[in-house]
Amino acid sequence: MNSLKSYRVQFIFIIILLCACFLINISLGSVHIPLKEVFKSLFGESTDHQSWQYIIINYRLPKAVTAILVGMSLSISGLLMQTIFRNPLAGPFVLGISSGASLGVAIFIMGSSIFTGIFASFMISSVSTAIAATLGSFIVLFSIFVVANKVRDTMALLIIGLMFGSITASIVNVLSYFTSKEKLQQYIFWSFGSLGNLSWDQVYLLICMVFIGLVLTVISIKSLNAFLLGENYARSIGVNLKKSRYLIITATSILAGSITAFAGPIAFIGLAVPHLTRQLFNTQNHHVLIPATALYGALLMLICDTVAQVPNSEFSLPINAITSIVGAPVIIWLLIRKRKMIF
Amino acid sequence: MLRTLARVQPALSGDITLKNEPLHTYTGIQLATEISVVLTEHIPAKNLTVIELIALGRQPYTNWVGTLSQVDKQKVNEAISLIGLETIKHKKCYELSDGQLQRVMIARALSQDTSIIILDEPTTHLDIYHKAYVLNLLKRIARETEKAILFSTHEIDMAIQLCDKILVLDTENSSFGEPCSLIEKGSFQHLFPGDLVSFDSNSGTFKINK
Repeated sequence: MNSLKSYRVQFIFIIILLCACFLINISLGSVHIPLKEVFKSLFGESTDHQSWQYIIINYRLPKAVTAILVGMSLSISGLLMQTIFRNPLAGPFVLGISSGASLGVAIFIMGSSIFTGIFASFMISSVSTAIAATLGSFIVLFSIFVVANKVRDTMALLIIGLMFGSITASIVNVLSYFTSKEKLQQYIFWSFGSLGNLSWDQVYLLICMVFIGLVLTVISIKSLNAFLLGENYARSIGVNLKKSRYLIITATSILAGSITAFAGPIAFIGLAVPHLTRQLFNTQNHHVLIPATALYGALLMLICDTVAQVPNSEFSLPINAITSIVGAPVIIWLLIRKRKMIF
Repeated sequence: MLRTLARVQPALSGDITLKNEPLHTYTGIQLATEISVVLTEHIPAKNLTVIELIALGRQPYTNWVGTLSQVDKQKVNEAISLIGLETIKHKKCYELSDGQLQRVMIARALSQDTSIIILDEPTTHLDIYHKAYVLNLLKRIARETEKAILFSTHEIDMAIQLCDKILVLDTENSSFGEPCSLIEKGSFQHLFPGDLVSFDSNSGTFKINK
């Protein structure tokens, strides 16, 4: 097997690029702050303006860290799903995680006008939205787990995941039809995704969740490589199919679920980054692919976030739109240039 | 039947024992060190290189992330040289012909270092030269590495010439034994309906009735 070492140069290059993008991301924003002052506040020295330090430490830094976490988690969970379903169109949300979260948030925001009294006392804040999203995705995932226990075929599981997605989407549609204009707008804004709403406490929590997800992923590397041969071969080389399938699904749920709860359903990254990495590294060995997708995911997300905040202006664009606008042409260009899809 | 022997499917009835232990008492890893398989299904990941694919056969022996030890690398290289894949070992699987791919899959089973290799119709999709090549290769592996090689095939003519023992599966009565004694017993005579092909016991081949 080609080991990690033979890709050392590429990895060093991406890490340097990632650090550069991280600094650029922090130094750009709606308020212009000179680069020197950015460094100063990062290293805890006092800056010329008190507010600059506050902006950097409490707004831009958590946002950049969130961007890295979101990019890493979504790309890795996309890779996991593509490998176990042997399907290039699979992404982190094929098992209905995002639709579950959407349902939770939709019921929370829009349902409150229909079932008045139950939710009316709640303040609709980012924390309670996150709780609603977690509950929603947990319920959908739990149903998937119950079903996964009954079906042997992994492909059937994929279809069932998509069906759950359709059901929740139509419930959301029904809710949107009956809800008020303001509530609908609020829901739409959530569904655009956002990286900037997290306080440091929430970022720490997210780091913990992502860490657990990553540990589970690393444990599954061996069986992921075995899945490249198909399920029957995987079984013949000693892989416990049921156990590793559960492990991989759990890892995906933790990674994609926690991200969706805090940052909304961020599309595209999870589907695209694994393809991007396979094209650039020309390998399918998960020893290489997992760290590589994590780094590329973080990189792409940082770039998208930098673009989305439209430097030196008061606007910021919805991150969900930017990920596709920036990412899709890259994938199309790579596919055309290499003339062959690597999967 | 082969799928049941390799524990891909549960048995309809009866017991299977391997080294005097019932097959179902083996754990997945234990079984993987005793039986390796070559299946008819295509592998989904065609972008693996030949050597990567063969190295996956070492999974039952590697650590929790699957790092290859010196022993593993040596076993992989042995399998490559025994089958003569040195020239194509860094090629990607999608660049290979069907015959080459089949040899790579056999090398993968070989690197798994099991006492038994089970192959499900290893000669389908191959022309007559490569059919003979693969079967001859299997015979050579069985001799040189002292493994038991079990395969299913429709190439009765070739199997008669190359195999040590044959199990002829018929709906009514199946027979098992060395090819010569099976010919003497007339096991092949009524294997197929007699209107189109008939078995010539002198040459050990099937002839088309004209």
